[in-house]
Amino acid sequence: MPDEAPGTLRVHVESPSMFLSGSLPFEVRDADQRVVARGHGSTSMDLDPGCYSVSLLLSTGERADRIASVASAEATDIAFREAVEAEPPPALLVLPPRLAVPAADETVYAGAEMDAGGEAVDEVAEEPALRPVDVLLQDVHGAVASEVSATMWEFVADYEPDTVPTATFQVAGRGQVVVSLPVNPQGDFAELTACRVLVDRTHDQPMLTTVFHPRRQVASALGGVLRTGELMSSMVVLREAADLLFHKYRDPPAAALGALTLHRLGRLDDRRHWVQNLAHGFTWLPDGPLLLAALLRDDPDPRERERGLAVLLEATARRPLYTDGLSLALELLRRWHPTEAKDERYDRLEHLSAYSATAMWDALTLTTVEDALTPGGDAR
Amino acid sequence: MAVLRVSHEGSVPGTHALVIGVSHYRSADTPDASPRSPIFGIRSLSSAARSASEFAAWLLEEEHQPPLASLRVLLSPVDGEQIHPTVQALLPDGGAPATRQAVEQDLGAFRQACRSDPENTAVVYIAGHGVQLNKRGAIVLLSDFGDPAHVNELTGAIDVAGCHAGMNEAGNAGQQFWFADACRQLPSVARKFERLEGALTLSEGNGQVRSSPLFVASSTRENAFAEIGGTSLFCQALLWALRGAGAEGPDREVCDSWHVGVTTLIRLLDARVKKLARAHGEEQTVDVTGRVKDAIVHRFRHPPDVTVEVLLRPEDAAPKVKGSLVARGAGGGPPKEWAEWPFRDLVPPGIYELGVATQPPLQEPDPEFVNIKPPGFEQEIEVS
Repeated sequence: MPDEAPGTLRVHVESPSMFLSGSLPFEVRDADQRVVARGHGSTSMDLDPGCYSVSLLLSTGERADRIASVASAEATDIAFREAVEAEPPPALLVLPPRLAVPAADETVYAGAEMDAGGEAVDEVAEEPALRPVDVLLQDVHGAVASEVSATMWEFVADYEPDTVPTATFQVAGRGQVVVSLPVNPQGDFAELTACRVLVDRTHDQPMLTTVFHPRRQVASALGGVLRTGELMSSMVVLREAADLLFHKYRDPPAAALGALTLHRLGRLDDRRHWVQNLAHGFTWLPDGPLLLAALLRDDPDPRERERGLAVLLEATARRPLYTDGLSLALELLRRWHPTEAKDERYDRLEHLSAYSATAMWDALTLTTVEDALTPGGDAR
Repeated sequence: MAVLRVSHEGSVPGTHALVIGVSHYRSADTPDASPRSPIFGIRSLSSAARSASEFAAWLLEEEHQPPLASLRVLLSPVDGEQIHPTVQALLPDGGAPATRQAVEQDLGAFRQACRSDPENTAVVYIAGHGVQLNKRGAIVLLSDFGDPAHVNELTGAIDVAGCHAGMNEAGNAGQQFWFADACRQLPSVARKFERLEGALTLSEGNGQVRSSPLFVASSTRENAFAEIGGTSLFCQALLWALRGAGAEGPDREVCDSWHVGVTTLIRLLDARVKKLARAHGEEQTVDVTGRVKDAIVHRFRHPPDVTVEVLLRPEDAAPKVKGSLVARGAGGGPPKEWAEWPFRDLVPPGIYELGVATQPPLQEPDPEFVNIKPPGFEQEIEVS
């Protein structure tokens, strides 16, 4: 009603992360679904009296929607509160980096104590933590693992690795699955170095999903946005998050993910300086040099292009951390200027084909099914 | 060449489209089958050509801005594959198969048409067997893949990402939408393709266009690629979104009418395809790459109606309960009242007041505001 004085809509956003409290985008639509306002974080705005929907993008990548009724000359409050994730239960079993592979017909009970004959000790068999496992952790490289629950392993970095840390699982119905782990050796304490591998048993075969530890809040938000596809709505968050992760939070693996995503969407712009630092400062992380090679590929200076090619060839000798890092590597090798180092590039393609043929392309971090190349092909 | 419409090509901005669908692979099952095909394990598909024809039909049946100026369609169906009748009726002499030569010819003409005006819009949809599939690219095999006359193994293939990159040049159609709908090979087969060369591509030019997202849809296996006898899961999801499920209301910064934008497609397509694939016990992903900016893929003249379903709990309370829906916005349509449960109807999108009137001894719940918007609205009302 045009003659009525406007009312005020006050949007309150609370997140455990100060950065996210001020960055999470929202939009306001009127009763006919027309966008009337946009904002980030906690904001106030004047609106004509009426009904409005407010949709906020949460740090998990999901959307929260509220309906507000704005009255003339009055203030209406809408609050969005992100809860701090509850701490997981204490680890059931802390595993050493290397484990003996159980026999194929052996049932392993996590947390069980075995007698000399391999039988579970009776009183331990009563423990509720015991259960048959269809996902067995067989090997860990570059991190320390703890099995938190039947559906979660947690991995922490305890030293600067020389290659991307990995965990190898035996997964029923799939075979041997190798997961690249986005641990952060630069983290100030254990949780800021950690990542988790979650087991989803709601499908025909167990599926493994890698996520950042919730205490790596900005990194988790990045992962959430990628999972839900809210890429465009969160472009500002993506850009700022990538910068923050590198400069302030010292989380180069998460920063690399942000940069890979921005590059894939054509939005990396000119971040050559920090991509260069990422490439040279963390030599165990090949995704950084891959990004640098991508930026140098189209440099007008032939010496820079040559440098980019050298960086590309070196980086593609190693396993990437992210699935998108592998995608970028493959496309750069194929599409580099046709006359340059063709034999070397195609050798690298051959090398990477061991990953590309077996990659689970929906996974955030590079996850490969090692048995997928057995004769007869399909491990699933 | 199979050009279905040329209305004002070259004179005013228009939408130019190239649609390719390959179900039939000559080398797979014809008497002159190539010795390559057993090595590469390629079999004909059941509905890539049909899927492409469905997308082409949508282009023909809907209004576009700018208007559709040209539509090039190359289809290689298998025997008995049902091509959309609108497209089938327009194909000259039964249409042109999607061979390397035909695709190369049409691609060149398509690019030339797109270059006629930077205000043009380009739309590309390609479906078939995919190799070298990753989050950023795809090579789709054409119907004459495996032809022993080809010099290189991938001569009978199109590098979608390479062509997409080649069209990203100053002066080309400023707004482009690319869709690659491909079926992933078994790992033992996929590995053989990594070093291969010869796929049709375009040279990269200078500068770039305003917006050019490339959606790469890749399924695990042929039976996940398409519902047998139907259309591919990606095609279903894409048309579901474009026909209304992905519609969003007007936004003065983006579009002054109801529309489907790139933002929504990115959000919806992967989730929808995953849902459809998992219902078949399969896996499928949709990734987006390219020059990804917010752009309008489709506009609606009128807001699309939304499917509404309101359920009552417990169901046996139905004789004593009536429902009502009253729009709070100007475009919401007349109030609705009902006594039959569940309530199902189509209503214009908007915020409504959902009310419930009960007879004793049932307690009447407070009315509530609900946001009815695409893709659909479902709510349970509980009375006690």
